[in-house]
Amino acid sequence: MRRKLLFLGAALFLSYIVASRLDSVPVLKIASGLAQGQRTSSSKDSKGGSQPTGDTAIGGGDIAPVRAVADPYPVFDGIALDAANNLVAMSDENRHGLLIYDRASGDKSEAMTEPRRHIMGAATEMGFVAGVTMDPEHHEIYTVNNDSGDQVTVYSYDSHGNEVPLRRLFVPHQSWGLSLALGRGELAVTTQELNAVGIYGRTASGLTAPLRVIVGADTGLEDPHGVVMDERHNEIVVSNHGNWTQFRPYTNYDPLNLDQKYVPGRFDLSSITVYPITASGNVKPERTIQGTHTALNWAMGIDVDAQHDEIAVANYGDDSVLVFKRDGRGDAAPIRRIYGPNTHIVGPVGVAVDTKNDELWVANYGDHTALIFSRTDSGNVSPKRIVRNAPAEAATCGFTNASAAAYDPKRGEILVPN
Amino acid sequence: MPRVSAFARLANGAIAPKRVLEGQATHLSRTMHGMDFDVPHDEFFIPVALSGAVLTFRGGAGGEEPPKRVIQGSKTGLVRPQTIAVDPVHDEVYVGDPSARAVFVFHRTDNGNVAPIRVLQGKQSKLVEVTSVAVDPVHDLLITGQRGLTPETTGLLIFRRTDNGDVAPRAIIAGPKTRMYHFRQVAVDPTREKIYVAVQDIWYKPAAPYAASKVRSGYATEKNEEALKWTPSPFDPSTKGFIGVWDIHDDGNVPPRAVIRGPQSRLLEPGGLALDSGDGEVIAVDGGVNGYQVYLVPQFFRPEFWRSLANGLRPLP
Repeated sequence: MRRKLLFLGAALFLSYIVASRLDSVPVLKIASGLAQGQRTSSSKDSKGGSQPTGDTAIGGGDIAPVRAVADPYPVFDGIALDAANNLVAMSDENRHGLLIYDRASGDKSEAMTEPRRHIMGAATEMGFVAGVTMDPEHHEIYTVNNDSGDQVTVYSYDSHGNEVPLRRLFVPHQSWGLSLALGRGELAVTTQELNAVGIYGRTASGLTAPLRVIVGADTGLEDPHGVVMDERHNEIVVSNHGNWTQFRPYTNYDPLNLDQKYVPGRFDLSSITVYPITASGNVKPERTIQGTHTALNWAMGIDVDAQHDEIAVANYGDDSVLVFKRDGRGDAAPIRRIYGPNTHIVGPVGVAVDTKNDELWVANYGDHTALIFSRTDSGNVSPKRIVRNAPAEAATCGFTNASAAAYDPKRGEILVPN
Repeated sequence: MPRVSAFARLANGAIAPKRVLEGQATHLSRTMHGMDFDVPHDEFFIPVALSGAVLTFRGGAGGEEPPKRVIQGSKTGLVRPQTIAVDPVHDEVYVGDPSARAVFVFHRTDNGNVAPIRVLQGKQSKLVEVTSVAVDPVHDLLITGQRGLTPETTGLLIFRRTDNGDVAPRAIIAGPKTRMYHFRQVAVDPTREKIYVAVQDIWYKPAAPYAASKVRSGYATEKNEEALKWTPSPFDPSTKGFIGVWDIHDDGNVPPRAVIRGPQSRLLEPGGLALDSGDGEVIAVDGGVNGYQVYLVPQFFRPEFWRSLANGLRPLP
């Protein structure tokens, strides 16, 4: 009950942060100067352009919005399951945190589900977090900032609240998926814009270079997301959205490389690509699952069930979970598909297979839930249990670091791309 | 998650979008740092950074709807376009591509593997990391927002709309007084001759630790630790972004003519903005809040407001 109150308190506090305009936060003096009107320039410059005169005032100021749209509750994104310690961790890219639940959490009620721990706050250095992985031996949870931070942060199983990470590892911008290979002492990290998988030492921290990188035109990596290091079969399994374009540095710190041969971008179908666990450089995948029969549609998080030789995929684009044979290749159809209105799958991003308890977890981005199915469920089935991070009626706004807008006066609509 | 969400203009609070465009067939990807709506033709335009493409959708597109047109291919020159503006008057689309250090101009109705009709690129242009484009068809101006190597080249580069090749900007609004150090979308109001900028941060953005898949040469952890000290967490509420308004005739190191900023504004890191001049509103999309705010500022859309400011008078709210 105490934890439920704490969780509700945290949600209310977040609502307050969003709704209260941060009234108590002092404004930076530098920013304050902007509205104080310090225009001292001359009225004409040498090129004929105008500059305001010293008499010009600055309009506007600290104007309250008449309307604001934001989601005060967490939104599940990545997921990791530790059956040995009966824990499930999910990243929250909306309010920037990690929620840790008991493995047996959830029910069929409309009540919010109490997490065991909730790591969030400025000290955690979490931004728009995506992938999650757990280390059952060393009791550590890893997550990665896909945007606003460019780092993997690691917390202990006991972390809670606004805690500083145990360590952080700087990774390339747009890193998304994480997977640990404890036997090898390695951590795999996918990076969208590089079409790459970097392999680091498990305990790497700071600005440590990867041990090896799978990258190049032959790899078939195209906007990679989920990743699993399957130590039983010595493979790395990756899900791809199918976007590809040449990487050329684009920040103001990087020179334009005109010597690089231009290769235009392209749209391919979503895919699952598989590599030897020791792969490095521009290697071709050992196997690729790709084609119209696969039903892959913006494949996000994946999990490998090494015991039953299956790959589960959070198939975001059509609100489904697909299960393939682990050794499937080509235009292979899934062997099972959880799909339909009874499933309550809405924008799935994370999936985790629990072979110990014969369950399959799905982290929904599209509403405030995670769903627990029987491992072999297929079709339009209802989940066994539902984990809720918000009241059942709470809407989901669906923002992920949106940075643009357009207004449609005909329909009276505000359009926002993520 | 790559998606375009359509909200009712009067939406307020924790509201679900009326309509969402997403899925494999849409060809959307992340890093959609610009979009523009073509009102006369009822279409909107989106760049696709991760596939080097430009998409055109019908105005009411939703679900897993494919685009009406796709510009992509070897003739386009597109690498990683991040921002876009449409000019329905001259039937052109302007595409900012930081990886190409360029602004590409296409016909509005181009489709497929087509060459741009003009390309702004080169040393004279000063274009480096193009973060935004906006077009003023009335005064024939192309306004580009960019992050340069110095604060003096980080701001707005203003070109003639029809400039082509390695052309110097006709005006540069940049420098410490602008506080435009980390910013994204730009919108222009040709009638009132004003440029609106969504400024995410008033601090200069440090280099990322990686260059491509390699640790940046000469970049030590200690240096990055130092950089983190002067670049606070984006979720630290003391890092206030703002909406700034400049005149299209401004040039040099000049502060904005008007701002929306401060604790009441709720603005943390606004990266997107749109103007609803009919209702006198400015819409600011804010990554820090992970949402958007709407400001009722009808005075911003009245010429007398700007005239009175120019005369040193601050109108009562």
